[in-house]
This record gives sequence, C-alpha cells and structure tokens, in this order.
Amino acid sequence: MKTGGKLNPVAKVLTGDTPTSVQRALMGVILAIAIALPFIIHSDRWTTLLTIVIIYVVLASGLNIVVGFTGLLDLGYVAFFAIGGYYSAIIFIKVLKMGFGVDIDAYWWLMWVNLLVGGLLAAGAGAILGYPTLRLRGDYLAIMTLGFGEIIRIVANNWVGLTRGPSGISGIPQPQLFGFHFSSTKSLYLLGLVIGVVSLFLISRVVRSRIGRAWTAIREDEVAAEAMGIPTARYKLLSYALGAFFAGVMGVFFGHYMNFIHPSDFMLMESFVILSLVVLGGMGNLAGPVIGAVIWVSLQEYLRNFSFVQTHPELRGIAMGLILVLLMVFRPQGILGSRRVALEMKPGSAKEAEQEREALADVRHE
Amino acid sequence: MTAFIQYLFNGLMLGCLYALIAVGYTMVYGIIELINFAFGELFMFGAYISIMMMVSKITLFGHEVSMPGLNFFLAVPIAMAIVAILGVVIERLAYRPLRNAPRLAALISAIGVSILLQNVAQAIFGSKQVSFPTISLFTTAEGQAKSFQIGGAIITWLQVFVVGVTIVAMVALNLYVSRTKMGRAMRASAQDKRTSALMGVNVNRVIAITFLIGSAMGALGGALYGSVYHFAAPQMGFSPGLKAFIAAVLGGIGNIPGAFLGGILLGIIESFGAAYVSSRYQSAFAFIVLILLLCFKPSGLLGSTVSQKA
Repeated sequence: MKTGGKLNPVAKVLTGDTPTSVQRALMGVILAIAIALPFIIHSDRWTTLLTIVIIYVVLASGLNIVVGFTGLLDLGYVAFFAIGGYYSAIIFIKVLKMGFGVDIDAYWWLMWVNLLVGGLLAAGAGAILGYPTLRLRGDYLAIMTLGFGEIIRIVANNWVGLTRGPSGISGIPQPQLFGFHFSSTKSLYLLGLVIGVVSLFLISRVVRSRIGRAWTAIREDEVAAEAMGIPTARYKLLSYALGAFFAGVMGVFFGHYMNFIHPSDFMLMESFVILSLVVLGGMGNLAGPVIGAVIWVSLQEYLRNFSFVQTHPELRGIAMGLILVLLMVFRPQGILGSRRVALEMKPGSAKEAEQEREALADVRHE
Repeated sequence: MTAFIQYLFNGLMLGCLYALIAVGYTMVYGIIELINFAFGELFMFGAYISIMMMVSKITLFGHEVSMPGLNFFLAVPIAMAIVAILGVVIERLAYRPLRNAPRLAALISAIGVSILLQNVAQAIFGSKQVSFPTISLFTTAEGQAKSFQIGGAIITWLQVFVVGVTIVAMVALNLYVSRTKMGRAMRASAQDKRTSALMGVNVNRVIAITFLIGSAMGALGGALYGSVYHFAAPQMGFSPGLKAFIAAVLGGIGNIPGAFLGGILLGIIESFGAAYVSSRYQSAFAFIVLILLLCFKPSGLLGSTVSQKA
C-alpha cells in the first residue's frame, strides 16, 4: 500500500474500485494457476488441502460482507454453514433414503438445487437473527450470533431424530453431474473452485454496486448514512442475509464433499477461525479473506510437522487470540487492508476522533 | 410443590452466579460501551486460581507443583485480587489503545482476548476438568454437603452461602457506586466521558477501577460456581459469560441493581425451563429471552434508554 497512490494491483482490487486491465490479467493468471495446480502437484493430500482453502476462502468472503463491508460483528457464522450442510444431508439421507427409501443416486440433480436452497435457508436464518438487532447497536448482533452459533450446535447434538445427534449423518452422496461422479480429489477440487469463483465473483459485483456502497456508508457512519437517505435497516438485513447465503451454499458443498457431517464440524472455534481469516487478510477488501485463508491453512499444515504443536491444540487458539488482539491494536486493516479501512479503524489521533464525534453529535442534536 | 421450591432455589443460586458476572458487563458497557467477552474467561480463572490456592499439589504445564493449600475463605479473595489485576492489564493492553477506534475493532479485540485466555488456561491447567476441593465448613464428616429442607426441597448451606455472598456483594457495590467519590466519577463517566474529564475526573483511572471491580466480581462468581459444581475447565466461562451478558441486558445495561435482577430472573427461567420443558435445551432459554427482549424492550427492565442508539 505504500506505493504512494501508484497502482499496487493487489491493493487496488481490494479497495473495491473497478479492476484495471492489469488487475484483470493478474486475476486471470491466479485463476489459471488455481486450475492447473492439482495437475502440477499431483498430490491428493495437497489437493484436499487446496479444497479446504477454497471452502475457507468463500466462508471468509461471505463473513467479510458482514464484518468487513458493513462493519457488524457476526460471531456465529459457522451456524449458517451448518444449516446448509445439515439441510442437504437431511434431505438426502433422512428424507429420501430413510423416509421414502428411494435410490438417492437417481436424485443427483437435487444437490445442485440444494446448493441454492441451502443458501437461501441460511440467508433466511441470517435475516431472522439480525432482525431484532436492527434498531439497536451493532454489538447486539455479536451476542445474538454468538448465542445462535451455540444453539445450532446444541440442536445438532440433541435433536437426534433430525440430525442423528453426535453420531453425525454419513453416506451423503458425492456430487454428480449427468452421470459424471465427482469422486477424485481433483474433480472435487475443481468443482469447489467453480463454486468458489462464482461466489467470489458475485460478492465482488455486489460490494462494488450501490448495495456495497450503502454497506460501506453504514460501516463508516450509520447515522450519517441514514441521514443521507440510505435505508440502513434494509441494507443491514441484506448484509446479514447475503453473508449467511454463501455460508449455506458452502455448507451444502461441504456435506457432499466430505460425505459425512458431524456437530463437531461446526464448533464455535470455527466461527472464530473464519473471523480471524477476515481480520488477518484485511477487513473490507476482496482479496483479504483469500490471503488470510491461504496463510492460515498453510501455517496449520506446516505446524503439523511439529509434535509439540500436535499435542498442544490450544496453541492454535492462543495464536488466533493474539492475531485478533495484535492486529486490532497495531494493524486493524489486516495484512492487505484498504487505505480506507486503515484510516477509519485508526484515526490519526484522539483529537481527530473527538472532532469527528463532535461533528456528529451536532448533527444528532439538531 | 417440593420440586417447584427446589427448582426455584436452584435457579436463584444460578442466577446469583450470573449476576456476579453481569455486574462486570454492565459497568464496563455502561462506561466504555464495550462487551468485554473476556469476563467469562476471568470467571474461569477465578475458579482455577481458587483451586490452585486450595490444593496442596497441582499440575501446571504438565508439571506437578506444590501449592499452599489454603482455606476456601482465604483462597477466594486471593483469586479475586489476581483476576482483578489481570482484568486491569487486559484493559490496558487490549482495549485502551482502541478507545478511539470504531467499536468493531474493540469488539474483535475483546473476542480475541477471550479466545486467548481460554487457550492459555488450557495450556496451563490442561484440557481436562480439574475438580474443586470440598469446603469443610459446608461438608459433613461423611463427605456429604450439609443441607436442610424447606417443604421437602433439599437446600445446601453452600447454596445459601452463594446467595448470601452475592447479596452482600451487590449491596456493597451499589453503595460504592452511589455513595463514594469514585462511584460518582463512574456515573459521570458513564454519562459523558469528555465532560467528566473536564470536571477533573481521571477517566482512565475510572475505567481501570471498573475493570478491577468487574473482574473481581467475575472471579468471585467463578470460584462459587466451581465450588457448587465441583469443577473448573477451560471452557466453563463461555456459557455463563454469554448468559451473564443477557442478564445484564435483561436488567438494563449500565444498571447494577438491574444486573442483579436480570441475573436472578434468568437463572430462574433457565432452571424452570430445564425442569418443565427440556433440560437438553437449557442453554436455549436464555437466548430466547434475549430475542424477546431485543424485540420488545431493548432497554431492559430497569434500564434507561442507554442501550438504544445514542
């Protein structure tokens, strides 16, 4: 970012400007590498890892809508992921296989429908959850989502009739397309990549649209945004819903990818991991979550080689807590971070912040 | 009827524990408008440090260390003091630098501190539960909890002690905030930090003391919780912390008697919910209370409109 206004391609993509031809080329190259990677590395383990990176990237990008672009804290994001995962698993296993006793392979197309329906279901949950907090300070959303994340896990564990509780749901069919089985790790990776790219494309379009600008306005100053005629409640609701939508879609994919889901896939810690990815890469910019997810997954994989780390899983949590606190104190815009977020998160001085607040207080009193 | 009294009293006691954490939330939120998620973890440290002080040997970082083996009534104040200092240090390092930053930054920092403390506790004390030593005053020679009966309901003296201590703590705290000079400074800072500073209030000091008191209260809650349920675990603070915040909202955030009332109500709702509806979904009741509250009375039972957007 310190290139003095001259184009730093990565940074410019983040700030939400329309990409230049250089950036388009850069994105094209990255995409080409992403497609070619599994054929170059020829390792199932690494391909699987890359798929996990994609899942995290989409989740972090979806959360970025709420946290980064709208400036509201969602601490139970993984619950929406769980909704998608459980929805499709329940439809296939509990309803079709056990309920009607049909051959689920014949209903392969349903997974593709479910990607959308699971997403919409999660979006609905996000909107319902966000609704009571609309009139209130954003902090309440944090508590609501934190509670909701726990509720979903409790339901997944205890409503045995629906979710099979702690034994999880197994036998979720692999994705199929007109008789083609996505059974190899490579094909699953490529499918994930397609879903991921489409999701990121949609997110990038939305945040650069009128809606995205409204979100940014809300993030920077809700009162001023309202005064400018932005229906903040509607846009916040849209932000919750859209953020949750991508988690739902990814949840459906995750279930079919793993063939098995279990309440422990949706622990609270996962919500914090996803939040850390957003914060680490840089809130409010598009490439942030990608960078965050790549760093986090590779770091975790690298640390796997050390037995001390293996026997002390809490080190992961310690690292995550430190990342969140240190970044907020020293570099709130994250590794990449847009200048806009940087300015906003770290006012030059207390005086500056005070002046801003004063100016606002005047507006409010009138 | 017997069962009803039993659940009522159990709920009352649980509610007192929530109230002790809720006080910290409510005071801190009242002044700096930050949900200090770490109170749940400070609660957990309160339980662990009490255990540390009470046993003669404990395993820390996988090594056995000998400990003083103090009496419960000596161990708890020590735990409260240590946790209070920890609370002030957290405020100084993780929240004060962010005081002028947007709320989101402070909130993320708070959740970071919470994650950090929980995992640090796991590193120090291990991931398994540690059992809380029995307190001789409340235990019979056979190792049973000393108790008495009201209408057939069994109430232990330890439970009575918890309720009593909470009431004393709440009354003392309320007197402190309403009668002393520092208390007045707190109330002034809660209304307007800048004007208070102009009137000669050292706002940083007020905030530090607020964290000190809130953390000490949380630690007391943790120690009592540990003694009632006979354990401490790294994750034990999460759920009570969340519920205590809900209790603070229920009572009206920024209001100390409100935190007490909210805590007790929530404890009783949970206890009855678990008994008469479903015990497996006990944690869901607090959440339902929160949703209803935010929909219909976001300022809480005793609160002014502070929780509304200023």
